[in-house]
Amino acid sequence: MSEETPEVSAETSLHIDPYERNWMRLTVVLLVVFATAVTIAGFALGFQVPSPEERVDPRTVAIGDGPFADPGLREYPDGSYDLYIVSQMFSFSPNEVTVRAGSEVTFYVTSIDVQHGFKLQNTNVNMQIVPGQVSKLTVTFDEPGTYDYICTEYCGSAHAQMYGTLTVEK
Amino acid sequence: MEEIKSTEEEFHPKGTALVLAIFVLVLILLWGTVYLILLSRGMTTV
Amino acid sequence: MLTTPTYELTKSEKSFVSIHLLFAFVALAIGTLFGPLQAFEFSGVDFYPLLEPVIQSYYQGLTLHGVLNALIFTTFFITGFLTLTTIYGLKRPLKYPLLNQIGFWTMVVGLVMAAVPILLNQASVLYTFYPPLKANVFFYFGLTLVVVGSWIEGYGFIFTWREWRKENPGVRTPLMTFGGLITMVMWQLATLGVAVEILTMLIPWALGWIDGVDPQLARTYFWFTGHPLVYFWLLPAYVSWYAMLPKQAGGKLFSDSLARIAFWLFLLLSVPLGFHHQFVDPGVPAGWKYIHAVLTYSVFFPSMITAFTVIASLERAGRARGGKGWLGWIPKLPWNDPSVSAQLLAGILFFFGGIGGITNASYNINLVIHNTAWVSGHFHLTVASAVALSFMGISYWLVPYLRGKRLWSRKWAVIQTWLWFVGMLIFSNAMHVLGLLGAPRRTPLGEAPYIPEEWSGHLLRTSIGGAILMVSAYMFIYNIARTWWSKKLNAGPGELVEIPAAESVHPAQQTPAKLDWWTPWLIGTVALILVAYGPQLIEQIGNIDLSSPGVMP
Repeated sequence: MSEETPEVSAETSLHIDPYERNWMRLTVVLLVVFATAVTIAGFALGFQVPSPEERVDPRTVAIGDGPFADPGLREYPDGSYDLYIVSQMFSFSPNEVTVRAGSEVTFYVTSIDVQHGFKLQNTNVNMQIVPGQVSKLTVTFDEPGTYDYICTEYCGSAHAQMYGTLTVEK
Repeated sequence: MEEIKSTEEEFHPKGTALVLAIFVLVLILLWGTVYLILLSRGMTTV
Repeated sequence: MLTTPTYELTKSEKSFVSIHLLFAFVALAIGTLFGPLQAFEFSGVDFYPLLEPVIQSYYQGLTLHGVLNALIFTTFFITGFLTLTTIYGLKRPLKYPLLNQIGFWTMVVGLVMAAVPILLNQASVLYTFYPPLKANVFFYFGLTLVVVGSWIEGYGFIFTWREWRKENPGVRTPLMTFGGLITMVMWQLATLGVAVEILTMLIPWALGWIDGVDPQLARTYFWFTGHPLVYFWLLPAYVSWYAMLPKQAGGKLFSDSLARIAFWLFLLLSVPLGFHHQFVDPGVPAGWKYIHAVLTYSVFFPSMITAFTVIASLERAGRARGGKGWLGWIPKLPWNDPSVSAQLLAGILFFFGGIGGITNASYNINLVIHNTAWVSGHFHLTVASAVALSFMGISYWLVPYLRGKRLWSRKWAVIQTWLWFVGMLIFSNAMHVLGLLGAPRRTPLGEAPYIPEEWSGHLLRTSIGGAILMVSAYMFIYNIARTWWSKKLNAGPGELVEIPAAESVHPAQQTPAKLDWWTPWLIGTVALILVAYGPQLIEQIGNIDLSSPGVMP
């Protein structure tokens, strides 16, 4: 053993190199800039993530008289929509939806069996679908076209087949 | 491997600074790209 | 000048570490097989029908890939490696070798218990086992025992360190031991989430004692553990990068103090940020997601310190070897040492892993990439590169050291590390691009009906990258196997036989004693976890709803 003899009173110092000190400062600045950009997008520009909406019973939510018992579009006089979607192994119900361009659509998605994912391609609608919970996001469709919504969470053997299509008409 | 010569006193990690400067530029570029993709795909409000 | 203190592990200590590695390498060899099978499937080449009836589905294979590679290979390698860094760092035997033996064999029993249902296709729930996808109860028992075994091994390290501390008051804990202890203490705290998930919800449910589970609460429990799990894998690689790689490169550690500060920050910050995996969950308030996003940003800081300190150590070594100019030190590093090239290339890949990581953590940016192939691409740059490639590099000296054998082929080993690097660049880049285009993760895209034409080139690139990675992985396994059972005793000239313990530029004893005090950091860690998780745990547990009966896939 050639361990140094410990000197309890040995002079100690952090020995932080000036280059490394500056690097740590730069890191902090970088993180603050990123955080600011994300915060502005989220809380000022309206690029938000889902928040708790409603608790439901996955065994009964699709039967009875709630909106998920008759999933699909609900149109409002101002031209906006609510869209209720039920996910189950291995389909979305409904799996074809058509809305008008320029309309605002609020998605309400739940699952009656296992977890699923709901990702509407080429938009920022991307939600975890959890039994017992309702996932909700609102978007406005300006561009006519077709948008697939695909299941992005493993839900069983035919997970890869699970998708639907939303059409935005002129 | 033996320490070849003692360079403690004069050593400044300027190469490290350069490598990390390149890293930061790539980081800003790639992170910024995805941030712009987010902005280009439209708002999602709750 | 101080000479490296030599200390030789006893024969039984060496064989104890070796048997950890043996299990790790066998898990890697089996689990790796299913990685390329997925990558080939992306191009429409499906080998799974050939594997029937042994492997009945893509998801059975994917479960094996995740469990064996990400959970078993890592845990066995880490507990083995940290046994060595405890003994060698402290220059004393384990305080209770039997305790560590018990821990190890508990992990083995757990591994077998989890493997049987997976092989019977009764636990094809992937390594995240999100309920209400249901597995055979022995899968949950098995995972529990693997974690408990790793706890016990960690207790063994802590008892050993306490004994050493009594014998060596006032001495700084050697860095390699210090990093290992932080890893294991963080792991104890972090695994409480998954322990509660499995013990209070999944096992009673799988046994039929309760009718259903609360999948949202289960996710919160899971990700309490799920992100620090990444640091459980990564910190042992950092132990090597800080406490060994500088020596292997022919230099010293640039800053012992900052290395310790980085490890403390990982203890403090690894756990209270799990909601950044749940940014798009319906049952977590956006405000809490935002708080965890900020906390996740803060854990980027110690990794940035690590980048500087490790690279500066390498630059110093490269300059001492004659490197000139801004970057001339890089080619002077001992790239012909496979252990060094593995870790350097792992570090380069980890730059990209870090960029992806900060993107994932960025709150609403997560909407772009959540549950897409981007995530698997990111994950392969972190656990399958920074961690796995570093572990391969460590193995290139560790196996010869433990077995007293010469590495079968250094040249093969160097080529292997480069193949991993190239294969991973191709694979992970393609996966990131696919994710941005909207491709879901862990999905057999070869059979999905919604694939646009523009994805096909990237899908092909994942297959090519996967093929290169497969060749590289089995070159590693073959090299290690030939070394393990080689008849060539002792390493030859120029081969590494000693444990590469790096000294630091300023001796560790000059590092402030504060940086060796556990109590304030532990209090801070627990307090931060309570602040970051307490209110939501109270809320979600208070509203628990066990209404999801579940399905066995």
